[in-house]
Amino acid sequence: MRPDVTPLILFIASIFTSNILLSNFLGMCSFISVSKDFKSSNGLGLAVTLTLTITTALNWLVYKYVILPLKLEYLTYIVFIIVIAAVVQVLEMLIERISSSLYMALGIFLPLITVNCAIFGVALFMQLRNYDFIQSVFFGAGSGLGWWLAIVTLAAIRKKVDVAPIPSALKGPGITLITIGFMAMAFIGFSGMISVQ
Amino acid sequence: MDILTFIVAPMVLSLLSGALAFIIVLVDSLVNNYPDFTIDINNGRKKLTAKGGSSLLVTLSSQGIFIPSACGGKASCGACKVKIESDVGVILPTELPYLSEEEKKDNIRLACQIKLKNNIRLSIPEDLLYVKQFDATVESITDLTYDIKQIKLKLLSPDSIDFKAGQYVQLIIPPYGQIPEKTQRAYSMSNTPSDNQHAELLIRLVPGGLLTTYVHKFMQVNEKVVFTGPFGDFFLRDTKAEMICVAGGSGMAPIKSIIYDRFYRCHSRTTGNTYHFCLCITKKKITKRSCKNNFFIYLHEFMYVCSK
Repeated sequence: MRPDVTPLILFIASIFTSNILLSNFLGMCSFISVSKDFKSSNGLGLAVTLTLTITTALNWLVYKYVILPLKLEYLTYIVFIIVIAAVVQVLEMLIERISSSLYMALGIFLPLITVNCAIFGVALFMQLRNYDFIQSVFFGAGSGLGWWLAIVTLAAIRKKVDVAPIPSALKGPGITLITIGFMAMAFIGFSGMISVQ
Repeated sequence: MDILTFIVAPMVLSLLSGALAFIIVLVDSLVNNYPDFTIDINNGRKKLTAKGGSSLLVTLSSQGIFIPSACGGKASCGACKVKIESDVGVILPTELPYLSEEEKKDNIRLACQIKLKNNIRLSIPEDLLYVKQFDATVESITDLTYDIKQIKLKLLSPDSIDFKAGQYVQLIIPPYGQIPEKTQRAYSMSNTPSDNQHAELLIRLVPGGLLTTYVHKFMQVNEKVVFTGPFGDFFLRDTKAEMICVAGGSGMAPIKSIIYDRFYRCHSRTTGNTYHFCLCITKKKITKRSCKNNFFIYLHEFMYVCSK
């Protein structure tokens, strides 16, 4: 559909102009709950980026060489989820062995990446928009970085909001959702630059 | 849609899942394959070598060192505290509820939550080095009250236990009924240290309790059981001080052991020390008479208070 988009443009676009989190509002649950703490949001951002890049590439291969030839398009969702779950499992074991402090910081959110809609969303977009392999990898990595950027930004803002005088009714999730809204609006400012939707 | 689809789709899904599962197993065996590490206990008092990868509690018990643990490694009792002298990483969220500020400062950790990934140095009470695992048979099961049973275990191997009056053991029962795994719980011994061939436990039926239900509904005489012990620092010290014991229900088990032990030992003395013992029990569970008959028939100097 869009063979004209160069991978690099796609990469930058998925970080800024069509940020998976702020333009599609995908991956909100862990976005809101983990952004309380700067350090773990940084770790989760890294984990999501890694998972996104690997799963998008794997899912592209599976889609192209298994699903399409066998005409099993109706199994796409299940297959994508299975691949994501397996990748997260492997990643969890690797992170536990390599950096136990990151493993501790991520806690329950690492296995929960499996059901992070941003990851599934990227896999579906990649398939709907007919990206080729290179485009998909860049799209995945870019979306991950965009998600990482958004959660780290939100965590930083929430640090500041914590000490700000906020009406008590808005404290907690209320002000967080409003903040995310403002962030999304700010990111709209990028949208004139490139468009890949 | 032709008929082949019904075969192809499940085939593809299972092949794909199988391949991914294979990758997971492969990575697991590569990543979680730890080498042997040394465990240094009490500054070189004891040194062990064990394969890494599992929890400290399990590793130690497989090497014959039994840290007390009522929940068996689920971080729900907080009993398996050990002092770690080397770096094992930050305190886990699962440990936090069981550690006081001072314990955190002292680097006290739950042995069941620490995975053996490095050489490790730790301190445990010296007594725990003498804790053993015992094989025993159930010699008798007696109803003491409507919900308390006294079980008497005859030791097989080792055939005697060296303990102090008031200490407890961890009884381990096999999987039964709907319970798929071994259960272990702590019970005080109610026999005296002079009777070192037996372990006598008082077990009250707790509604829904895993181990107590087993003892009350399934346990048979002559059955083989396993326990570890002795544990605990609630025991009779060798002083002439007056003693006040307060206990109720099956909680009287260690008190019985302590009182009998005191009685046997003070017999050898000529000074007729008087001891005051108060036992708070409800009348429903145990009558004054049966209590005296069962427990304290020989204790002439024993003062007995029965509350409502």
